[in-house]
Amino acid sequence: MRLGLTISCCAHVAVLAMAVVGFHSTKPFEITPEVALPVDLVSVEEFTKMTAGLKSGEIKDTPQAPKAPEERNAAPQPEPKPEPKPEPAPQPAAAPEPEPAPAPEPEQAKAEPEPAPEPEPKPEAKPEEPKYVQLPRKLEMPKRAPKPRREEPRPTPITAQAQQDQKQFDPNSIAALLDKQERPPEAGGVTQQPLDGTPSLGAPGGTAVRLSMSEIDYLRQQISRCWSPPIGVLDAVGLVVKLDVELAPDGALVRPPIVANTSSDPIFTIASEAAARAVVQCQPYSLPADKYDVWKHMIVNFDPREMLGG
Amino acid sequence: MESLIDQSGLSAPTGDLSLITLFLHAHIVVKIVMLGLILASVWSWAIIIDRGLVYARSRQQMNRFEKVFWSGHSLEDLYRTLSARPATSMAAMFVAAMREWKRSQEKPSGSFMGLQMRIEKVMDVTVSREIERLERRLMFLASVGSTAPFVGLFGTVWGIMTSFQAIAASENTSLAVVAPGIAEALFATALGLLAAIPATVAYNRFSSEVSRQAARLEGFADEFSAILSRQLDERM
Repeated sequence: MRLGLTISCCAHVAVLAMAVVGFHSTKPFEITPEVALPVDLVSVEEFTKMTAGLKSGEIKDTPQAPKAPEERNAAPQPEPKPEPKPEPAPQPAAAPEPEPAPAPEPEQAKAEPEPAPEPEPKPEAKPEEPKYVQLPRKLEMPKRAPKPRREEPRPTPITAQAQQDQKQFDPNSIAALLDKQERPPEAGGVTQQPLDGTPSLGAPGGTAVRLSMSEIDYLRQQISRCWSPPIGVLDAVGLVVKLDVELAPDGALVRPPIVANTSSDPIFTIASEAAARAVVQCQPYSLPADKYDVWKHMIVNFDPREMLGG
Repeated sequence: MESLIDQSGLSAPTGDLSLITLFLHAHIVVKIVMLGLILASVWSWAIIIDRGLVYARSRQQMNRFEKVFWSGHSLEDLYRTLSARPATSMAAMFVAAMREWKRSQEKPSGSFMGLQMRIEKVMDVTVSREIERLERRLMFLASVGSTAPFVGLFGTVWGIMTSFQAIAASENTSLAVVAPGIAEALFATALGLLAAIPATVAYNRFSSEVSRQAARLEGFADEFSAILSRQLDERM
């Protein structure tokens, strides 16, 4: 028995020692860090709001504005900032040369026809170079950093070709770039209404299914057929009537609409009555039947000016 | 246990998940479980080695004795040589039976049936004593084989319990926080299985060995009692 015990003890010591050595050599997993891709989620409703444009809206430079959100994430590198600053300065400096150059040319041409071709290739060659350089810069400039642009318009007007360059450094586009953080992204045009000002048809429980913008517009259009605004309502600023509407599955009203908000404005009473009348007159409404849960009970925000526009 | 403590004293824990750090960081209950399992493993391996040697030796002795017994030598001579030194297994049976035979010859009582019964009784007692000797400590292997996994599991459950409490206390659920506790808890199960597997295998093998040797002993006892009864009949 003693022999067995000693052998067993020795074997266990050996095995444990080997295990300790072996576990020491366990290497940790090599993890390759993954590059995070910034992704903006845009719901369909936001998209419809975004793309709904007005004809009267002024058209901006489209390529610059939509790029801005990506560029902000991409590279706020401090190093390339100084580079774009000095470049525009030599450009205009080189550019004015061709303007005075053609003026003396005809005078020389009258006197001596032969040397005339010689200076001509120079101005031809020079305009080509700045054009060639300017094109890529238009694309690169916003990528580097939107911030230095604020300072650039000041040095540029000094030079002769400042007007051309101002297209490039349009303060409106700078404002568009800077404002991006507060406002939702716009695709060039002006949205019809600010997002929070639209009459929203919210389900009381805030259910996941919602009416899409086109359906809301359709309902608004249906109501606005019967909407005859009383005098003075249109001039009231910030007047919004909230109507509590309950609808049957066939689109008819279950009960007369209830005014859900109050206001001390005397016009409010008139406006609310007119709105309720319009809602009663225009029933039944045709709405998607599969979303009945959403529109069977809803609060309609009734903005008189918008209803007229719609 | 000594070896483990020695090692833990010798090599400072460098890696986070080395066995020593796993052991040292474990809860006291888990430590006790681990130490108990290591002791059980050491003891069961000692038994395995010891029993293996015992069975091999007794098998050899049986073979040798049978060769001598069936070689045609005089049983008196064989008895004289074997009774001089302590014998085991078949030799012990033979010596016991022959001693009883001699005693009854010295004082003839006349009842041959009584002599036959006495010899068989003596040989039965010797067989059971031999089997008891062969089976000694096998029960430890059996109990280690059946309980060590549960003991290890108990250590694991306890360790995971405490590590979850630690997670709750640190309010951090990253894998780096969870992993060491679970690793040290699983270490207990590993030790339990490490002790249980050889014990179970050895117990199965040894119990079949014991039953085979017992059958061999009983067969020899029957044969020898048949020989002796033939001798008695011839003497009548």
